[in-house]
Amino acid sequence: MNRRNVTKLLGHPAMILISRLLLGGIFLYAGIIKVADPSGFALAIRNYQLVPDGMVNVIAMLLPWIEIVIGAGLILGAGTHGAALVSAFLLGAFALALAINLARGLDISCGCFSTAPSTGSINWLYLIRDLSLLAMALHIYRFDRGMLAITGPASRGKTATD
Amino acid sequence: MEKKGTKKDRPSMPAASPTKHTTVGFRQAMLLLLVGIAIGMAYHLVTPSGLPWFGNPESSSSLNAEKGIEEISLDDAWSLYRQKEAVFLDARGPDTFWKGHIPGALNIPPPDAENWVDDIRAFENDGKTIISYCDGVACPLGEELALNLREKGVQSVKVLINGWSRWRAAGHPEERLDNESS
Repeated sequence: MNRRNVTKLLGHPAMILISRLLLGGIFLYAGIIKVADPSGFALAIRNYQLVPDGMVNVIAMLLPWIEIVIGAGLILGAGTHGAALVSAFLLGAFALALAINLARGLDISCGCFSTAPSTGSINWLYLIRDLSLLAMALHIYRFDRGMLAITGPASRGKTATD
Repeated sequence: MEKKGTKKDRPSMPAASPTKHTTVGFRQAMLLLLVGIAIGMAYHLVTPSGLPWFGNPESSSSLNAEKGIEEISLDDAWSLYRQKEAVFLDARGPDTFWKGHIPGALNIPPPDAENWVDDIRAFENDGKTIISYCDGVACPLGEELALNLREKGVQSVKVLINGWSRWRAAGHPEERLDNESS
């Protein structure tokens, strides 16, 4: 399979739509779970020991809503490229936080898709999962052309041609 | 690479204008961030969670105060440890306990509390401070252990919230039971 074929496959509208729905659904789910328990999420953030104490609560209260908004954006195709950019930025930051604490050897919970106490401690699989999602975000950013989208950077041209 | 002619036929290709693609992407990103922040602020104004926006993130303090659990700060726990005035109770499971714990800590998962009541009361009578701890996000085992012991008549168990992670991060000594010391 040569490079052109790979590009063609990655650029296929169905592939992009799958990435969008999957990543959007994941962000939506992660956000809704955390909105329900800001205290638990604040503790999860504090355990990473990377954010100044004074900033922990404000992040715990706003980050879930940012996740929900970009999740909805990806699913609906509202500002898809922007949503993909924010996703990539967040996932990059999460990867960094995970990597630092894995290297530190801290036995903390991820706080990714649950704020519950019983979830296991972080391991390298969490980082791989995060990087896979980051790849999806970049895929959407690079290839999305506004399929089944309500808005998007391509919509101006799209309405004229489609 | 596509030829110029095909670009013209398909103006909706993002590749047609990479700079514009990026600019629009950034503009949308900013807009989505602002929308998320605005909804988040509005939500927390309408349904206050009791968390302050900034400042002290000891979010669990008020909850624990309601249950009658007393927390201890890491600094206080550390100075009691150095004066040998503290008895640490590790409320996690044996597996995690074996991999590392505060030196001298007793491994007491909350259901085992009643088997230890006499020993712990003896420490208490010696004037030691009893400190239970767990690890990780909102791990309730330290609090549970403290509550179980109090029900059985131990009066003064303090809880070191997220004890193990904070202890390690502060670079305090550790003890392991797998024939290695770190």
